[in-house]
Amino acid sequence: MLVYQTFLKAARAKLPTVLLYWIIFTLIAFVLSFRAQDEINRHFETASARICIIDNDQSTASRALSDFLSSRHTLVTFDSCDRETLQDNLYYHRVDYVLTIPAGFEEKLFSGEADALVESAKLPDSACGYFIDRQADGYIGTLAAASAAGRSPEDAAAAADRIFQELPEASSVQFEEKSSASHKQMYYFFQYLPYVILMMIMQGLTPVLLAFRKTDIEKRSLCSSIHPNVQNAQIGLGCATFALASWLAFLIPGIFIYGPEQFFSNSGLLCLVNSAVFVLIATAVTLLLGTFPLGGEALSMISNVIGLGMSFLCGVFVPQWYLGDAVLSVSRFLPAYWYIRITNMLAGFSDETLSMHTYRTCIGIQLLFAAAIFAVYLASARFHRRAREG
Amino acid sequence: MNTPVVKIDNLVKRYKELVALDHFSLEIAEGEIFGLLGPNGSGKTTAINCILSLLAYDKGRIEVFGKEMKPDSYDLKRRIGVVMQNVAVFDELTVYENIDYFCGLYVRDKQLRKQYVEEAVQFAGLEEFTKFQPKKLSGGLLRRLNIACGIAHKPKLIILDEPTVAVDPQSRNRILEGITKLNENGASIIYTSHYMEEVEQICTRIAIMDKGRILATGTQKELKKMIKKSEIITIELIELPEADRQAILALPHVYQADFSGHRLVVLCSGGKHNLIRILNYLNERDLSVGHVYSKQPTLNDVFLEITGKELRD
Repeated sequence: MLVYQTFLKAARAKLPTVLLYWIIFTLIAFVLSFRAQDEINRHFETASARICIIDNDQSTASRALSDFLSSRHTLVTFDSCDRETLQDNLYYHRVDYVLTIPAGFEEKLFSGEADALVESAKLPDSACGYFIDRQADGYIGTLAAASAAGRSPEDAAAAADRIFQELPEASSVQFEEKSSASHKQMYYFFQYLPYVILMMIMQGLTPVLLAFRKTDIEKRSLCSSIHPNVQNAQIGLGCATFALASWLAFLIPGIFIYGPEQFFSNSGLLCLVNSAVFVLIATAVTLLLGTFPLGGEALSMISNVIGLGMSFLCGVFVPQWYLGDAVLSVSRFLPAYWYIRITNMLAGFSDETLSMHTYRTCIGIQLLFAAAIFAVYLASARFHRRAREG
Repeated sequence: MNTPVVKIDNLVKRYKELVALDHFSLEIAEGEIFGLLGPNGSGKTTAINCILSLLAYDKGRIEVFGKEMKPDSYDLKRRIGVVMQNVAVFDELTVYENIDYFCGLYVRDKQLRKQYVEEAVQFAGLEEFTKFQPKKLSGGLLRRLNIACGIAHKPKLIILDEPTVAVDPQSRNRILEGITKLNENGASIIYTSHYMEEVEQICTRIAIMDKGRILATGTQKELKKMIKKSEIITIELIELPEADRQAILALPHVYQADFSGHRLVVLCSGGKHNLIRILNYLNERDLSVGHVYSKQPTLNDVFLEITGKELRD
């Protein structure tokens, strides 16, 4: 295993560059953890939205609904409640949600009517507004159920309040938000992985591969009594060891930052498999680069173009939903797109719901990319060998 | 008769239209330092690459140690050491690690390898630099490391392809001494160069090649005998009338006499006492003589006479 050992010795000389990427990435992962923690709080504050309730009914049921919503959100009032003023306040984010309870609300509710009992105004596509709609509908539904059971408005309001106190909806929402946000920290970790792993493997491995492929060193090796296939196999094993070590170097800080429970949870494992497949792609790209006679500066330039280009085009640094359709249609031809698509699905960063079918498809496409790049590498190596043999 | 270390029969190697080796034939006996002398692009490196099976050739046969040399002749490759024209070492490894690696490609036994590597370090005079990385070595030391990497496994045939290119005179002498020592220790050597002085200094037999063909083979003496010129006499004179120049030209063995810039250059084609005869004539004619030089023809003269051009054209 002389060639393998020497390969690793030569790779050791490139450790400072690789470590630099690793340290920067680990620091970013730490910083992101705190940033994501802030986001949890922001999410929760958004749940406690500023609402304005215009109660034109002033009945027991309407007051109960107002009290219920104001107990969960911050109630704001305005001097004027005309439509134009409310729209302005919504536009300038002075209020997140406006509920209008029309006159006759209680009467309609207790007569069994279910449709359009209240009116709401919110910003278009507002998740917060949708959430308060659901809260209001849930409360009204409970009042309606109580009235259907023959209870008076006072009894129905009391029953609804009791039910909603027993069902800690707000805290459950808060808990879910917290859970998904803490997972998000981990997804951020995996989100940035393609760039760093590509750079680490390319910057660490390519110079060593180029050293072994240097014309005169290669000639000298070919003159030796070790079969070239054995030498190539040992070089391949060296690449695999380096790639595996780089991948493991990522897992260790990940486990420390997010804890083994989260890191090895179902979604964590899906991320791990995804990242392992991407490591294969990065290794194949590096092997291919290693077949070209590149100098230090050219290598640095090319690896930056590949690393940064793929990262920007595929949504590593910029979320995929910010990228235009034209960019996304191009990025589909790059492996990092499929990697990020999985991370987005798992983190809920995209509208796409997670399904194992889609997950397997994305993994399969990445494997195909790895196989294709590896095939090009083999063809390129063969071409260079033929050229050398004259 | 001993089996030749290397035997090449009618080797032809083409690069599309260009004929790099044109029916190239050669025999190198055991214990020789065989010089392949030729200008850049004459086919020396191509011939070496073919001998090492690094290049496929179109026609001919190559035998090393009496067996046909093929890309998978690993038993033969084990007995060959190669020193490439360019320094072929890893910048990422130290001097010792480099020699150890290239020796390890031939010698599996770790203990034996350690001994061989230490001997190679000593041979190349790199004892003080074993922990240095190649980048920190001077050009001469780098060349010595390159040689140490090629000979550490104690090969029986060593092929050195222009190992002294861009080397200072001190390092060059040390390298040439080292090659002679390797030969004394029993290795046969093929040495390619376009520096005729080096080839003259160390080679026991020489082949002059140009345009992929062997033009002449033999010892230095044999090669020099092949040409008309056997002595070059240069005499400083204040003046030389044309009649006297013609008279000198008519002397025995003189076939050329040129006078310009107060220098008379006379080319002789053999025979003895040529210088005395010319000096006697000048003395008789009362022509005062300054410095006088007489030299034997060089391999460059041989090359010049055979090809009509200088070795370093």
